[in-house]
Amino acid sequence: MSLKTYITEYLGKYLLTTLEMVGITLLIGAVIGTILGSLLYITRKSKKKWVQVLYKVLDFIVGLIRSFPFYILIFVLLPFTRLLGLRAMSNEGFIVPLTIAAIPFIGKIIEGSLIEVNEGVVEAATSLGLSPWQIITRVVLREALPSIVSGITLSLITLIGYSAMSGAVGADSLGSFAYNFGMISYDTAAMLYAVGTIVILVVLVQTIGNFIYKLVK
Amino acid sequence: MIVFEHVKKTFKSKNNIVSAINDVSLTIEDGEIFGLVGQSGAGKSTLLRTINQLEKIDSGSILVNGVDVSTLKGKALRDFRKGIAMIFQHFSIMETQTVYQNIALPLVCEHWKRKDIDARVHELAEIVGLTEKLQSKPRELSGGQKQRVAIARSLALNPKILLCDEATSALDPITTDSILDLLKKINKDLGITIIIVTHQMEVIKSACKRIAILKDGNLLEVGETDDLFLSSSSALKTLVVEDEIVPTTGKNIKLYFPKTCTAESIITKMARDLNCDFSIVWGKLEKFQELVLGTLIINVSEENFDRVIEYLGKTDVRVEIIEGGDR
Repeated sequence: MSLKTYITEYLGKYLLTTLEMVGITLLIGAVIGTILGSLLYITRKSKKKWVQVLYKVLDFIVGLIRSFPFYILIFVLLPFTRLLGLRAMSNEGFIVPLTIAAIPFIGKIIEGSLIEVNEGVVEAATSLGLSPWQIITRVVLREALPSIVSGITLSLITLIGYSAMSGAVGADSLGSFAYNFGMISYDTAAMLYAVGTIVILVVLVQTIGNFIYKLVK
Repeated sequence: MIVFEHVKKTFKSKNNIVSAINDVSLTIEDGEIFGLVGQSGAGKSTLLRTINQLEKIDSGSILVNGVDVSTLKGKALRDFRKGIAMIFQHFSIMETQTVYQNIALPLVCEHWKRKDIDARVHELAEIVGLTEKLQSKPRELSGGQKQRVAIARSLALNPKILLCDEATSALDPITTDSILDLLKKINKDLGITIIIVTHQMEVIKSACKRIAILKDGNLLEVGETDDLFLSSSSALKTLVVEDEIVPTTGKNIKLYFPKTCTAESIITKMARDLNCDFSIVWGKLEKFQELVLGTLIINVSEENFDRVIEYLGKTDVRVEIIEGGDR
């Protein structure tokens, strides 16, 4: 495959589907992941016995999903995807396992960022008479923002990596293109084009991530 | 007024129970600058933190302007805390937010109007002297400036009481002085009761009108700072590590000069009246808020010792015999 054919006929379509599935996943994953991460943070710090049990349960579920090899998770979740009324073997269907994998991943990253927030600042906020909700939203999450941005950047790059497995359910992405057109059809050039595109994409994501990090710090 | 009555608090760890506060009763008056002093582990920080319930007590009661604080919960406790400011050793301001945003935090959380917040933040910045730095991030500030931000933030909601938890311990001596000056100004101008936890002798002398000395969770002594220093209180001694190098021959006598008399006249007059010699080992002047007090150590021979003591007994000078020069 010539570079010209790749650019004119394939690049646009596969880049777009990749960005779309990863983008939607990140959006849902970041929102739910932030809530999950905050919940892990709050329950972890609580002194109440039953809340500590709740943390253990939550943490176990998160660990369980995270330890599933993604390739297997895709197939395990096929019935669930159909239950949601989506076509399992499609681009939109692939978003489901990708999101399910992203939520605990991002959740754990957010939890880690929140724990790093100086306990003294939390104490000062308490002494100012802020409510627990205000402490989380106005102090802890804001103070953790640079670290969260780094974490989200890392998550996005991981998701781009995961998207390569979309070929497993017949969905299209740059990764699946590299596999199908490159590996399977012995077209080394096609594989290099796709991999090259992913490399540029990842570098771009990292650069933008670093820029936002500097902005919020 | 803050009244501690038989306050007790223990910390339980896996293996043992540590008594952090052991039956402390104490009254702190409105508008004073009060020091809670002691070595680390004395329980002074814990005692301070019980006032705004960052630490719960096991028994006893703490009345702040008539309110029993240990009974407060939820919203009532949060509203109560808004009336009690607190600053910390490591400043505890938000690193990601500007000075302005840090000071505005309590106001934003109280849903103040933007215009009112702006006016109040500028007013507070004026008090602490940070008007030029409002748009700076904390990492661009010195330690003293960070503490000023914390002070401005703590004052935002017009508290009646300001708790200082080792607030100057991370600062150099000059910055410490400037922060203490600010605290004294706040105390005087705004009439805020200030309670200072510290192990720094300089802070006690410079700022605290009265102090309570704590050791291992017990309250050893409460009193006016200068009186405690003058009476060479044994409790206070546990705090000061003084390397007093004194001669090993003869007798060493330490003299404390109270507010009413000055050093030199007594010493020279004694030499004339008794017609005896003694050497002056060392002496120093110490400042307590506005008051200057002196201490002096003299060395006399064994044969003159009784005469000197008798002579000094008739004056206002307080006398302490320093045992053994080679300690």
